[in-house]
Amino acid sequence: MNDPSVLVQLDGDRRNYQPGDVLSGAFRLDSLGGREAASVEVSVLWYTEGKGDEDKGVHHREVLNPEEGQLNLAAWRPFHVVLPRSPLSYDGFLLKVRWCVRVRATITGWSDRVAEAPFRLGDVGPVAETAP
Amino acid sequence: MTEPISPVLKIVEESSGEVHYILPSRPPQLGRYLIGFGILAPIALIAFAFLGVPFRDDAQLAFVSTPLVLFGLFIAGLGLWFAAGHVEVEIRHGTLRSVSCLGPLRWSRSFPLRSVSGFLINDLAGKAGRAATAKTYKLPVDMATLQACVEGGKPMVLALMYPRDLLQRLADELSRRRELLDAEQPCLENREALTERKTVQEATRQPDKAAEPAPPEQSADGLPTVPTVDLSAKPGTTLRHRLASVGEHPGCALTCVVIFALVWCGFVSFWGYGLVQAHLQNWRNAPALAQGWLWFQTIFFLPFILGGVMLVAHVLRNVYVTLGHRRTRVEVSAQPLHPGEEFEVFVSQSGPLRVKDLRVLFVCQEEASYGAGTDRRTETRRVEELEVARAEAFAIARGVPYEIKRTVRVPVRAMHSFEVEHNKVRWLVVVAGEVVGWPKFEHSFLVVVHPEPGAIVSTTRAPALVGEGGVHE
Repeated sequence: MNDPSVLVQLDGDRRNYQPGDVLSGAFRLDSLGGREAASVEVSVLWYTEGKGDEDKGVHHREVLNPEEGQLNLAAWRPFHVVLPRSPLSYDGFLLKVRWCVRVRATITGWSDRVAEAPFRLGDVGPVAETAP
Repeated sequence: MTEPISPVLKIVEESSGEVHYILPSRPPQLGRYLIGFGILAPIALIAFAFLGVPFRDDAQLAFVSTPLVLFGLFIAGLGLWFAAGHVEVEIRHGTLRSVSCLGPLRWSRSFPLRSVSGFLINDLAGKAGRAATAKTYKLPVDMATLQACVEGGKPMVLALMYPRDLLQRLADELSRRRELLDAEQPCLENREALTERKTVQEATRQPDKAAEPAPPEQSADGLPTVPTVDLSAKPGTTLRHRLASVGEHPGCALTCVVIFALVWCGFVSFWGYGLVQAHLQNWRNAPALAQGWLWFQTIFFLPFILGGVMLVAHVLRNVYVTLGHRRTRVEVSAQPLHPGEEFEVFVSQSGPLRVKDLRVLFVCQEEASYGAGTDRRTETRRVEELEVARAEAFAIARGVPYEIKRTVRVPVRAMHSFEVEHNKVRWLVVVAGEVVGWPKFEHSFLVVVHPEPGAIVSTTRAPALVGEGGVHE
């Protein structure tokens, strides 16, 4: 029997968005094999990478508790989020700003299962180092 | 009282949910060594000084001995705290508190338990660590420090100089308590969840009184992580906005350096005067031991003179930075700016100055800060540098400032200003110059660049070239 997993995809496999665009996609849990998901959390968030310590911010978060409703998590479940004006995705020398959709499922008897769908927000150009 | 997790660690659990962890007194040897050193070292030093230098009066003796006595008292007090004091750690209403106790004296620090991302146990390093491992000192070899890693801040010391095994048990217990606290809110069990929870809480309640990591700054116009324009800043005289300089407090720096230099030089002068007197008056007739001690003191004294010279040089440099550069004023026609937008920048450099080279730059600078042990370091890197103006070999007369106005264009696909706790992207107007006979100087002035307004743009638009910013006279 396969381990349970989370699948997440963005509509049209799109990877570039502009501020104010609607980010849409869907997720589902796979190979649950009769196990129950205690909760599923869908987040649209940004985080920094690079030399500095990580900063992170959550633009949208939605928590689903299957016990509270009749949810079929094995079926694709859509989500829609209007994206903010900032921070825009950025590829710098010391820091990078990344965006992603992250789905985290807490499954009884297993460690958390996480899946991410990265995307770019905005159209900031690459940088060129000019001076130390 | 609940079952102890260690024979020497007491846990007191109140019905209200409060928990107190009472650590025992530390092994007494270290405290005894410190007390002994704190008492004996000043006595020995004063005695040697008394033998070597014939003090002319009691005031001279008091001047030399007072700092030594204060130093000794500090060390002895530290030793007393180690030998007789103990530490208590409390969890109360979701707050973690570390209390250092010495008899009736209590010194505490506290922070929210939820802001703690983990616990660290650091073994003693350096001289103290090597001393602890030496059997001759009869110190426990496994002494360590327990620290709490606080989100967005430096690690906080909870318990200092205790056996590692005891601290490990305490750390495990505190971690368990923290997880219990987290379990009260499902789906939030790690650092990411903590950040997310803070974001949710930010909108629903006032922050706790205890210090929490600062949430990402949000401007009033719905631009998370983008700094706001300081509307309280002074208006410009030529253009609309006068810019504030970044990271410069020369007056404070000058005051501190001058005070320190005065104290240092006063001490060195007094000491030097005593040595010179001793050399002039008594050294030929003094016994050989006293003469040797006098020369030893003289050689020992030389680095202090060198330190004084360096301090004076530092004071002069600070005086120059504070007063010698004259005033630099930068104004811009618009704030906030946007990618692709043109704006005017006005620079006024006061004199008198004989300038070898003066450059005005429009700069995008990245800043990243990171923890390295208990230190925090910040690294900066310029990723965009546009020369706005440059002038060479000219003089600025008193009362006739050098003024220049240019039109600058923000690069089309530029990153907006971005400020979060550990990472920043800043746009600056930089005035850098070289003055005849003095070191280079550089003043930075902060401008705010927002993302494109409106900002719902077709994703199929043709990408523009990078660095399309420009300057026009």
